[in-house]
Amino acid sequence: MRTLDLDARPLQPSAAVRGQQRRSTLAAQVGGLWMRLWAGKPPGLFLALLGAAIGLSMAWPILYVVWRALWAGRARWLRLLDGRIPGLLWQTASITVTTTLLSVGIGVSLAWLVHRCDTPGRRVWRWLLAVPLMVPSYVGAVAYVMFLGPRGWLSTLLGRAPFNLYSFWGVLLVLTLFKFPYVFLIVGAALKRMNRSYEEAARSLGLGPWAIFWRVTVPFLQPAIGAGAILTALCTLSEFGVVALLRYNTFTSAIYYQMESYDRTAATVLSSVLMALTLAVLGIERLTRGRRRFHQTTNVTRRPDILRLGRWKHVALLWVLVVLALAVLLPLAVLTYWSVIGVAHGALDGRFWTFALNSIQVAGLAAVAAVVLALPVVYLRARHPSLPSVLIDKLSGSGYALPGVVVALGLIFLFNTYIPWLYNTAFLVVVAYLVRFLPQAMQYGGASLSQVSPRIDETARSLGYAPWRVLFSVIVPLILPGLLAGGALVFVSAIKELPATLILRPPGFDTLAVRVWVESSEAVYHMAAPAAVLIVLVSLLPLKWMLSRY
Amino acid sequence: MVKLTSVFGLGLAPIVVVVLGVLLSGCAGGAAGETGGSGELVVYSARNERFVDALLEDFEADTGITVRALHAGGAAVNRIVEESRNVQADIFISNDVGALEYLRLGGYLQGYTPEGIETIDARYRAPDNAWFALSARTRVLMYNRDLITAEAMPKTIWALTDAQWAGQFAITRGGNGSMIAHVSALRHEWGNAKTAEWIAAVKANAGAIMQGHGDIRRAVGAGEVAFGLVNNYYYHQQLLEPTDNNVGVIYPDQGEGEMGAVVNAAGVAFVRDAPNADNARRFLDWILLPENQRAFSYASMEVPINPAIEAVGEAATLSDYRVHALPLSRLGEVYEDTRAFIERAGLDLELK
Amino acid sequence: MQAIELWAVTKTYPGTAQPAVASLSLAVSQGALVTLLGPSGSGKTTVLRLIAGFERADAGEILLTDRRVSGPGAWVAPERRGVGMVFQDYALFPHLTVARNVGFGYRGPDQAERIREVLELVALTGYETRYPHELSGGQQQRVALARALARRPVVVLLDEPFSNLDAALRTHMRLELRRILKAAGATALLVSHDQADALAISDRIVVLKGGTIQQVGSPQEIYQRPANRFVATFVGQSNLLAGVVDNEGAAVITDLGVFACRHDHAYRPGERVYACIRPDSLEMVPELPASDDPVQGTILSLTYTGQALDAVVEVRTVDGSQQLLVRLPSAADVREGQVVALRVAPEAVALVGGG
Repeated sequence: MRTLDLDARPLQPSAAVRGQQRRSTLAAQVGGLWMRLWAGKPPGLFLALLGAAIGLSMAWPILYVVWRALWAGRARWLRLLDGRIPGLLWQTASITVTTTLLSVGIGVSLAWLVHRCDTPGRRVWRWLLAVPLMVPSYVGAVAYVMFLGPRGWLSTLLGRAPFNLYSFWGVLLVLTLFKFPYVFLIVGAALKRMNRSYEEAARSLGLGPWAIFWRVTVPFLQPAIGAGAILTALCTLSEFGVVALLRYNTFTSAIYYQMESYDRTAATVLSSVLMALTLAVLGIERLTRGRRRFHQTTNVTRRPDILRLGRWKHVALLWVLVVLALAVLLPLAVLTYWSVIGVAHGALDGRFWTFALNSIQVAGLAAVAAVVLALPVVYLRARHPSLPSVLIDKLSGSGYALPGVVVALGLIFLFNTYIPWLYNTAFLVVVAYLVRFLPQAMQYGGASLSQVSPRIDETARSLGYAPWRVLFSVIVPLILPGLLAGGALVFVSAIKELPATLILRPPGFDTLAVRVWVESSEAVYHMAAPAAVLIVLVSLLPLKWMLSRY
Repeated sequence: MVKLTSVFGLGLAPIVVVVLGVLLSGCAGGAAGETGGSGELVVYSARNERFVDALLEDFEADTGITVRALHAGGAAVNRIVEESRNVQADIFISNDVGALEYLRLGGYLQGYTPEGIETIDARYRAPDNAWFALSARTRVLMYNRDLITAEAMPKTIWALTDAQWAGQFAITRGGNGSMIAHVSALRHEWGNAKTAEWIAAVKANAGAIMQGHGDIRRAVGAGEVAFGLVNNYYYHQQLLEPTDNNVGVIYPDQGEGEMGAVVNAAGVAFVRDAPNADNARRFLDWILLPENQRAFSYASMEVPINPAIEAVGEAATLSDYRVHALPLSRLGEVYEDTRAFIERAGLDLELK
Repeated sequence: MQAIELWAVTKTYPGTAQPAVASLSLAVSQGALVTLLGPSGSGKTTVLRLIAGFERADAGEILLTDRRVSGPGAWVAPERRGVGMVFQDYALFPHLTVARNVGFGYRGPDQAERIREVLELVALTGYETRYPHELSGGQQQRVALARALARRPVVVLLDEPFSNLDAALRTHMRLELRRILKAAGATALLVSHDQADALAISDRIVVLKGGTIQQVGSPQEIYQRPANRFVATFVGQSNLLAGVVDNEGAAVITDLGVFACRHDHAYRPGERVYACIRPDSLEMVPELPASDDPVQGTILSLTYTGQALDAVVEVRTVDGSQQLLVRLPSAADVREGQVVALRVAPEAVALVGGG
């Protein structure tokens, strides 16, 4: 028997203690409501307000566009609905659907060939085929204008343009070549995960390789294909540079011209329709994502085996090489060619470096701000899961997948009207980058934070650290790599960003992306190419790590 | 996490460090455009930046004033209107008198009498000199001599509606300033119904609808299309190209009783409530110096408005051909109306 | 003075109907080592989190050394409660060395000295510069414990301290943990779902189920005199036989016979109860003495566990049969299908409520 004073015993609480909780003041009611709102885990007031402020700031420009569109007037809506919108819908939808379908075809076939077949050199192709995704599409379009355009290499060689690049088909070609890696990467990852026992079972049932591909592999890959397709569709919907450079009209370019030379209110109407389209696609994504979770297999230890292609090996290799040539080799060759000429003509002058510096400045500022702003949002989301934190998360991420022209339209309205002292400063460009790319920083920060057990926070709390000290002495050091990786991604995305930069840059503040646009619109290729090459080089930095993600 | 750390260590850490350094220096220097006050001049320009930048650099060199230029193309007019309560621009350089007068009528410009304004004919400036033109341009048909002869070329603007030219020529988007003024002139000449008919037919007929005239001149030079509707100086520019320079020009509607070629002018305007008004006045005085007037025209190979300044090269002067009768300053009254007209006609955003 | 007092504490998680902790009242005296024992979902971890301040009670009061830390109009944040927490996964800060982990919460001028002291206490002197991932599971747990003890908490809370340890280490760490906590003079409240851990280490055990206390007592009390059927079956294995208390209250009448029971029960004669017989309170008798009225049955199955031979014996009753778990010596010479006679060890039958 252990000593009696080391005791634990039940207590008999008096009626007074039992009755205490029934007394309810107004403060207690508000407190109770606040507790319920945050699902029993309310954050500090400062953190809650900060998160709300970030969420609202990020969503404000976009909501404002919708708000203005609502007040655009019946007449304007009707005029646009009757006149412009049906045509734009058709042009936008047709290019989106065809680009997506073609990307799926190319992406799936290549993923299968380099992951599941004995295509020679497949390890190299696996990462080389991801390169086009890193190259901004408008740079790809510029390269194709230099190559296939009316005064491009091939046209000069043949004496005439082999086909009209400034057409639906030209846009389709360029968009497909630079968007298919989404499908390629996501499907490739699924193929790597795929349990080979399915295919072995099919083989034991007497199916040949071709039948296995169609009847087992493809159905299995459906969720991944869907996800890749949705991503491609979203990017095509918000694509501005390619369609504008190749003189095709979709919603993004129409919004741009509408707001630049005509009436901005009509632009808000077009933007609202485009947002509705984007939301529709995102809705489809939500559905496929749900399905994908259902389909995933777990604990795959055995690598799927490699299919021997035999004499088809060379056909496979040829296909890979053709795509690589068109999507990587050719654009880089053309750009390098014109860059060499440009550099010889002194393109790398002081102006050039000023543009580069401007790019780095706004992109860097956006990256740092994104890291700082992502932290409270992801922290709220991870540590105080509740309706408000989900809402803050969604609002902060609302710029995801939305076209830069729409973001720019909202910002230009807002700042000109309400914050005039910051209007026409580079700050607007930074804010636009934040609205568009904060979700990337959030994604990386959130992923890092999800690896930190909440027990870590609680331990630090019980060791005497107030919440904000926990955040800075424990959480930040632990998730810093993720936060900085997110920041780096924001930096690269911002360097590449074209439409918002084009619209929001203050006088005398051009960036590399803007110069690529201006010089290539003026067909001064040797001036456009060096800036484009610099952008591509910066863009390629996160390649390795992007690959490890998929 | 380990993976992220290693990748981060591979290449991103140094970048972030460099970025932060640059940012701090940049913010301290206010390079983001927050320098206010005396030392700068904000110029909005609707012209091609190549025609303007050298001139602005000369101004910087002569005065020590820093010029911040926004080459906004067709967006410049809209910007000035939208920013009227939060004025950003001091000077507006336009390629369209219609736009200039439109802004003046709307109260977006302010008057000033710069030194040397008398060198500009009163027809080519606002009554209060809130804007004045410096160089003239004429709407012409430029063609590729390899593809078509002068004789075969259409001789009138109306002829562009003829189905025989389907796919053979290029025009600009309806949002282009020169195009707006041109349509204003056509409406004045033909009335709305016929002009709308013209737009519809030309839009269908054109082989390409392009963003700017630079595109058209290169397209014609390279033979992508046989000819294009451009301003006359684009013809002179194309002649100077090392290749693709076998081009000719037709001044349309020169026949007896025909309306004559449509003329427009490029000029500068003084924006109301300009934040750097003193520097803007210095600029207006400066630009009227003969050598600067000359540079303004020569940069684009246009014809100077000031008769005392000789025209560049072989450019035809205004007196050499029949000119459409609509006074330039009238373009401002109908500017907005014509834009709406073009929008209704469906040429506003179209590219092809 | 009580180190911990809970007064009618209730906690219901949002989105659930059942309270995780229902009007629970408990006092823990200073220096005691108390285990909250219960199956998962019994609310034991919630009690711990309520005391630490990671969850807020919907009702009731919590006092730590007479300081009201939670209650109507009172709320003390976790960082100001002076509670040391050791989590199941230890939650060591992976970016800090052992020494910096241990010194994390202790900011006094004698920090280095204190770190040395507690590391010595947990027998980890010499590991100061290691990082958590360079330590074994047992070492990580010691570091977590040292970290919690470093700032001399009013109470140390340990969540499932043994669940991440393998069997051999587990036995050792039970002793170690008790030694360390006693040496530190700490009041400790543990959470466990494992009765062996709880019985081995605790001064007192609090058995929880459905957010309410089933029984509080010393390990012996809990094991020998379970308060109800749940405790009887959850803490150790029990054969429960339905029966009626006899007229003297000294025995219980069951289908299998009449068994003498402990006298310290509160049941009235004639009341319906269960007789709780531990498997090791049943012994096999070789002969069949006529007077003793032993229980006879057939061995259905045998499980050899090393220390013992667990037999399931089927016993015929008036209207059917009942299976009994019997712990035989590991050397017992029996086989399946054999008919055996069983006897209940004297004073080994506890009564639990018939409810």
